Order: sequence, then structure tokens, then C-alpha cells
Amino acid sequence: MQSSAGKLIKALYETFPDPVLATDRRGRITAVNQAAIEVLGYAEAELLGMDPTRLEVPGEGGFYPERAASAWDANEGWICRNVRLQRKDGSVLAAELRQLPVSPQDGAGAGLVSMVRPVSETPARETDPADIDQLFPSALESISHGFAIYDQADRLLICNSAYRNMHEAFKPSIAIGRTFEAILREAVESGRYPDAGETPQQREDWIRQRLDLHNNPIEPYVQRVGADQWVQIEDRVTADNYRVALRADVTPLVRARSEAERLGFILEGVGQEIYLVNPKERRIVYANKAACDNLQYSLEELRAMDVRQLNADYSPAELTEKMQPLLTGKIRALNIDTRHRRKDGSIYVCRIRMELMGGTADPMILSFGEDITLRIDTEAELERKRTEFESLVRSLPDIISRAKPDTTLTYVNENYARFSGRRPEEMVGRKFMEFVAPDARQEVLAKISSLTPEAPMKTLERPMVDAAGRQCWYLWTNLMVYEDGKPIELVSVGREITESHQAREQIAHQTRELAARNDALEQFAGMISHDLKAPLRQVRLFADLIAEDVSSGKTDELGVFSAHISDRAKAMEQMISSLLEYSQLAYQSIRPSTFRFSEAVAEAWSNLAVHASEARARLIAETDAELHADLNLMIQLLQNLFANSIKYRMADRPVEVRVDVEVGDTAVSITVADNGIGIAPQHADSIFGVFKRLHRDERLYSGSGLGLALCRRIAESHGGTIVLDSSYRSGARFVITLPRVAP
Amino acid sequence: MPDAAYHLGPELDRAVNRMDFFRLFKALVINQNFLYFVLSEVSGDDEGVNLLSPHALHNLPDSSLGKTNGKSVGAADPVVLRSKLATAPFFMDLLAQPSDLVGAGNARSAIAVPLHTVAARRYCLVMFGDAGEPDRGELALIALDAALIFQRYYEVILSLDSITGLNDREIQIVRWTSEGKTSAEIAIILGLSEHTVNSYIAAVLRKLHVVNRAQMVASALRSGLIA
Amino acid sequence: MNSDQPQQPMKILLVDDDPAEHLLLRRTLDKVDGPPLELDYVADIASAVESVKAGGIDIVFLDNRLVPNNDFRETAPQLREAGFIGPIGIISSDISGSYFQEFPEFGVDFRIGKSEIDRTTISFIIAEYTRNQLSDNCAEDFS
Repeated sequence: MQSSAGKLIKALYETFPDPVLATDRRGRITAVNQAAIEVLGYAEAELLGMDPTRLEVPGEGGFYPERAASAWDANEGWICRNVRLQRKDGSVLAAELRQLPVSPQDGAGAGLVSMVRPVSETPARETDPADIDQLFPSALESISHGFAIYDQADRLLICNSAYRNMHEAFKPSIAIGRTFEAILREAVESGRYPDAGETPQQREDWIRQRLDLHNNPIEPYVQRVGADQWVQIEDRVTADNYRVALRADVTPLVRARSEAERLGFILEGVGQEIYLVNPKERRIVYANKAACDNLQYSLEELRAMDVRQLNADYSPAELTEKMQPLLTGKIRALNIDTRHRRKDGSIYVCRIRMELMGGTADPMILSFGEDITLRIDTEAELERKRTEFESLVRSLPDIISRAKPDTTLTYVNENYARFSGRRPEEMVGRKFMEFVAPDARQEVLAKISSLTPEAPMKTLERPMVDAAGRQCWYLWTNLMVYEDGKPIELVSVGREITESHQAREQIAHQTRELAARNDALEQFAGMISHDLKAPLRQVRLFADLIAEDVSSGKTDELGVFSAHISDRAKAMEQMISSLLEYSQLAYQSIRPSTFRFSEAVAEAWSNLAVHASEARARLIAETDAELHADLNLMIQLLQNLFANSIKYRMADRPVEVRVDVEVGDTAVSITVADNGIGIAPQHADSIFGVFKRLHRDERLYSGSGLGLALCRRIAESHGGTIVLDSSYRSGARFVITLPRVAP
Repeated sequence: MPDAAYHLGPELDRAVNRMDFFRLFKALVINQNFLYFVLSEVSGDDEGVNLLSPHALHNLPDSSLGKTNGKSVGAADPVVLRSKLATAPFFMDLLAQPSDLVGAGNARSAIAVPLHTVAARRYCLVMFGDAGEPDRGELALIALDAALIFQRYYEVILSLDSITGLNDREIQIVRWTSEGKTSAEIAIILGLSEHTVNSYIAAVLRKLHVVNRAQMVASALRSGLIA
Repeated sequence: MNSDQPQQPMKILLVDDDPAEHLLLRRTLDKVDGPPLELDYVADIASAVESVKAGGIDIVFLDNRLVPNNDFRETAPQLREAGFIGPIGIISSDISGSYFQEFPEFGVDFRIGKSEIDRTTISFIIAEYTRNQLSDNCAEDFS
């Protein structure tokens, strides 16, 4: 620690433009300022410890005048005289030497402060005393310090502008001739002193205090003169009762000190524990409040302890070993998670970071400690949540994956792995496109690349095949996570929707079927209205003709007309009854059972026995196949086909009907072929329409035109089809395909 | 218009020739329990109705044409006279005011619907029969149906005068005509009836505002319709 | 069909596979005013072609569906190929099928529902399709 004189010199004269030398009572230079080094030409090291008389021009003396000792003893303050000093380079410096003895508070010995004020040699000699009066103020002006002299009555005699400007508060009231007290009072009363207080009493007290310091100066003190301005005030009373006031702006110094103080406060205030440890002595030099509080020791107690005793985890030896790399400079910092023991013996978990500070001579370890008991709790909580989340994800039936934007997988859940028939580790790191069926890749890729920060999530339904080869439908939701507009992660969730998809498909299928049925019904209604209207029109017209002829007495054609009417009416009756039959059969629901197909064939044929024998028809049906279908409807179907075969026969040869059944893996194919007149290929489809009449003379080929329409309805209601084999030339051949249904 | 004409059925939009419009007007008349109709232009003050005009349509029986000899009916006929003045449809009792349009004893009443083309030419549809006077609502519906059919008739048949440009068939026929083929020859070449070919030629004459085949060919050549 | 010429009976050919239609049309024609109308009847298109080739037919009423042909689009062109240039009208109990709209392209002049045929309609058809549509100065001797 520096002495108060040293402090003074440091504070006041470090930036003083003139050389200042401090000497101790042994007459050795103990301190110099920068100006001394520059002006005298010696290095600081050379000056320190030097006898100041070596600076005198040999033979001229000057540093210790005879009368000085007595003057100092009399405490006369500054002693001034002109001397000549010699610089290191030998050149001579004419200067005014101002000296002041300094008495340290502890009374350890007096020193001497010497200010060397160079005077330009020639002018100084040649200037007459009159000029000095002018020279003095201008010289005063040139110093950066505030300087003022008050006379015996404390009236301001002279001051430099630095003094005026030193602080805003004082300045407006300064006038030559005013007393210090008057100036001060005015300044205070104008409210320019922030620290003077609010009430008149406070102000009065403050002024008193201030005046006392002015009149009985003890040592320099710092006064705040503005919001952020500090001045060091040093008042002196000369032997002849003049008061010399010196002012130095110490704002930067004060500021720096207050920063340091603030830093100290901060260190004290932070929640983190801070220790400064002397590793050699293993003593705590400093610990902040947080550290003291948590450890329950006072700073003094801590300072008295071996720092290693605080650690509850490691023995002192272990700790020393652990610290070794830090102390030897191998590492810059050491982090350890350990436990500290409080004064009451309780223990807390803390994370310590230690750094080696300072130079090599006296290293310190600065360590920051953090009580991580809470953090450990939080981490445990997070871990618990993560586990919960994972078990949730595991228990979800969905497929979940996380991937980089380029689809490289970073996470897959168990389900996805199971679905793909792999282990999760096998999948992570590969692009998930590899696990997408090749024909779906383009669509998936297009979907993913269409994601934007504005629309980061899209869904896609697609079929997938699992590891077992099962075809299923998944609804994928892809979410791209963006950060600052850049994709960083793709989260995909696939939910199996096979069942709902199938249900939807089924509904769509039913809707289509319904629409087709409605179309057929509409067409059917149109056909009926047309085909029933046509004979009705003729009935009406012939009836009109009969009426006309009767009224005009003509009778020759009446028989013909009535025969036509009867004929048309009969045709209509047949049409209507087959319509009824059709609607009964076509729209009834099927009641499937398992039967031998030959039964149905025999039954259908026997129903037509009369017509068959008339036409000398022969049935060839050798099958032992079993069928699961509606027996009655199948008989009806076969009967209609057989009836057609008998009806549209060649006049010149007996009818031959051949039935074959082929049972395949998924379908049963039934063919019914005859040797009749056949059907032209262009009618292959239209014959299945309602009331389709292909042959002109219905009397020759009696029928309602509904038979094949009914056959088609029956086949379709079994989920099958019936078509005319238009390649068959030697008659008509129909092919019925029914899905093979297990009973 | 398709909505308003919905009850007339799809036939209205399908009508392409005079036969089709005959069928439409006749169906309208029969539906209203009338027997006959005349659609004719009603022109200048002192002119009568020319039933042989190529724009007229009617289903009057020859026997009912009585005194008119199938040609025209004078401007003084009560039905014709009133049709010229009327702007709204009206009903007439023919027993009180017999008309030469339909022979005596053929009809007891008439309903007339004045019609207008966009070119401000006036037509009138007159229905004859034995039905009684319809109420105002019925009359309005008859007038609406008549106007809808007539508007279509105008678009498809009557407006040819204002149409420029020939369709493919017409150009074919003009081209064959320019090579000296007769209508019958063209009919054979194109697989049409002579009547249809002549219909096309008549349409082209009207479109080109010429009166004979020579002018037709010359005009078509000039305007680059044929080369 | 010049009106100046001595009146020759107009000859209509009915092509329909239902003979009852012949009977009915015959009676309808009898009621038409004016000059007498002759009616020929055949039941199939082959006979119709023979008939028009033989000449003397002024107008053909063609049933839309002649079994085994599909519809008029198969039959009417056969008459045109036979060189018939008189009017052809399609008769049918139902002319609402959308393909009817194409009738002009198949050489057909008009269409009519069977229930629409009565004496006034026949009168109109005769008048419409025998009318000289072109004025006298449009005679064909322009060359």
C-alpha cells in the first residue's frame, strides 16, 4: 500500500505538466512523475533512489537551502526559489523549485515534494519585476490545475481559469474580491451543489463544514461538483495567512474507482459463488456473499480454512492431484462437478469452474461455483418427460420418424422399424426414401419439396407394403421445421388407415354401383315408357279406325283392326308380366348357399321340358363343380339362356345346348353354347338391354326381350359378369364369370 | 332461356329445320286443345297474309283454305286486322267474326300471339280450334311458349339474311354449282335430297344477297369463298 | 315437281318392319285433302333400295329401327347410294335419342314421331318438300 503522500502524488501529479519529485527523509527520490522523466532526461529507474542534489548544477546547490529546514519546521508551506538544475545530458535547466515537506500521518518520517517549474532562462533573467506581475497570471493560466489565492480576509485575490472552470457550480459566483464564503453561499443557495442538501439547515451545515475545511485544511479531499464530476480539493494556508486553493479534476479516477466498487458490488451480488483462492496457501482470499451464504461461513472463517475442507467428495490429496494440471498451466480452466459441505455439515451439489489468474509469481485461482441442486432436479424432470414422451411414442400405433431435410433419418420409432422389418439403428442414417416403394418415391418427394415455411405441413395418403408383405394404407403427415426460413428437420407421422380406407373404397364402390343401378333404372323406365307406348298408340289408332268405320257403316276391315288390337294388347301383357318378374328378380338380395351346379342346370332344363322336347333340344352338361351362390337366381339365369337357345334355333337341326364349368383360383367361369342362329357381334352388348328386340317377328321368336337383361342383373348381383362370346360362330355362346366365394 | 323453355322439352334446342319447327308449333297447338295454326309475317297496312311465303308455317287443311285458294288472306280479315294492331295475345270468337284464314265451320275460336324479330319485323301466331276462352294466366303461358319457339325459329331459320359466312356444306354446294352441276347432280354426289341441296342454295342466296346461281357463284369467287 | 305439269299422283314409300304401320298410314293418307297420294310399303331396307331404284318414288318414310339394322344411320345412306334424291323422312315412335340430331349428315331431310303423324302433318310435308324453294330466275339453265 502506498503512503498518503504517494497517494497524493499519484492522484494529483501523475499528469502534472511539470516535473515533481518526492524524496524521503533520507534524501532519496522515492517517486517521480512522467514530466520529471521527460524534462530531466533520466529513466524512472535512474531517478528512483537518487540523491536529488545530483540534479543540481555542481557548486550551485539549491535543493536544500539553509533556511528551508527552519521554514519547514515552522510549517510554512511551500517554499519557492529559482534554481538551476542539470539534465542527464548535461544541459542546464532554469527552474522555479517549489518544495513542500510532507509529514506522513503515521509520523514515520518527513519527506519532501519538489515541483520543478522550468522558466525560460533568458526571459526570466531579463524580465523586470513589473513584467512578473503579468507573467504570473499567464503562467497560472497555463497550468491545468485550478489555482487560486485568497488573502488574509479570505477574499479572492487571483485565480486561473482552470479554477473557474473546474466546476460548474462554483463558476458563476466567482469574482475577484469576493470572499470564499460568499462565493460558496451563493453557489449553494443557487442550488448548484447537488450534495449540499435540501433544507436550509442542511445547507448551512454543509457550508459550515466546507468553510471549516477551507480554513483549517488537513488533507486533500474529493468533492462531487456535478452529476459525474469530482474535484480533489487541496487548500493550504500560507505562513502569512493567505489561502492557496488547488483543484484537480479527478473525475476519471473517481469513475474508475467507482467502476471497481461497482464490480465489487456485482461480485458480491451475483448468485453464483465466487472464490479467489491462493493455491499455494490453499486459502480463500475472497469469497462473495453467495458463497458465504451458501456455505454458512463468514468470510473471515473461510479465510482461516484450508479450502479443500469444503469439498465433500474428494480427499485433500485427490483434490490437489486434480488441480495439478491447472496449476502447472497445462489447462486454462478446470470444471468439476462435486459436492460442498456447509458449516452445518449438510452437503450440496455444485459445479465449479476454476481458472488460474495473474502472473507467475503469485498465482490466484478464481473459481466460480454453482449450486446445481435445482438444475439437477430440473434435468431429472426433463429426463423424466423425455422418457414419458418416448414411452408415449412407443405406445402410439403410428409410424414416427425424424429426418434431416434431405430425408436422412435421425430417429425412427419402434413401429416404423417393425413395419420395415429392421432395427431402428439400421434405419437411422439412411434416407427414408430407401424405405418408400420405388413407384411412390416421386410423389412423396414432390410432397416434401412442396413444403414451405408458410405451409410447413402436408398430408398424403398412400399405400404401403409392410415387412410381411401386407398391403396397407397410411396417412402421412409431414412437418418440416424451419428456423429463419431454412428447413432444419422433417418430422413424419404415418397413421394406418387401411380399414377406413377400405371402408371408404367400399362406399365409393357402392356409390358407383348405386349410380350405375340408377342409370340402369332410368334407362329401364325410359325403355318401358317407350316400349309400352308404342303398342298403346297402335291400340288407340286401330280403335279410332274401328270407330270411324262403324260410324260410316264399313265393316270389311273391322276384323283386321280388332286382331291388331288384341295382338298388341297381348304383347303388352307379356311385357308387363316379364317386367314384374324382372323387377322381382333383379332387385332382390341374393341368398347364397352351396350346391352342386349340376342341380341348377337340371332344374332349369326341366322347367323348359315342354319347349325342349318340342324343339328336340338336347343338353350336354357334365360337371361336378360346386357353387356358392343363390340357387334360385342361378336356375333363373340358366333357364333364360336355355330358353333363348331353344327360341333362336335353326329350323333345320335339333337344338344342342352345351354347359361347361371351369373353376379357377379366384373365379368360376360358366359357358353356355348353342347351335342356333347366333347373334351378330355388333349386338354383343346391346342384347343385355331391357326389351332389346333383335328379331323382327316376335311371333316367330316369342319373348319379352327381358331375358338377357335379367341374366346380366343376376350375374352382377353375384359380383360377376355375363358376356357374349362374339368369336363363337356356330351359334351363340355366353360366358358367365362369377367370383369364387368360399361358403 | 333453356330454363324457361324447360317444359317444352329438349326438342326446342334440337330443332334444325322448318319441319322441326312445324312439329313444335303443332305440339303447342294440340296441347292447348286447338287444331290448326298459322305463323306468318304481318307487314304493311294494306297487305294481307301470304300463306305461301317461304317463312310462313301452318297446318291448315286444304279444305279449310276455302275462298283463299291457298294463296293469301286479305288485310281486311278480322283476325288479320286485329293481329296488325295488337301487341298482346288475344282470344277471338270466330262465330261472331268469321275469318277467311280458316274455312267456315272448321273452327269456332282463335288465339293470336303477336311476335317480333330483333329486326323489328312483326309476325303473328294464330291458333284455331273449338276451345273456349283461356284465362289470362293460360293465355300468358301460351304467349310465352309461342315466343320461345319463335325466337328459336328466328335464330335457326329467319336470321340467315344477317349471317355472313357459309358453312362447309354450303361451300361444297357453291363449289359444285360453279362447276355446272345441277341440284340433282349435287344431291347424288353429296348423298342428299335435291330438296336439301336447294335449301342450301336458297340459304346461300340470302346470305350473299344475290338472286340467282350465276350471281351466287360470281359473288363467292369475288369474296374468295371458293377458288 | 312443277305445279304447271299435269298432276301425277305423288308416291310415298313406307319402310317399316311392322305391317300394322302400313295399315295405319294408309288410312291417314286417305284423309289428306288435295290430290291423291299413293303409298308403297316394304318391310326392309333391301326391298326399299330395290323400290327406289325402280323409280317413281317421290318421298320415303323410313322407320328408324329396321331389324336387324341399328338405326337410320345405317339405312338412309343406302337409299342415297341407290341414287335417290327425293326427301327422306325418318319416322319412329321415339325420336328423342341424341343421335337423331345428326340426321342431316346422313342424307335425311326430316324426322317425325309416329304419334305426330296426322293429315295436317302429311299436308305440311307434301307442301314443304314439293315447294320450289328457288325463284324462277334461279332456274338451272344459267350456264
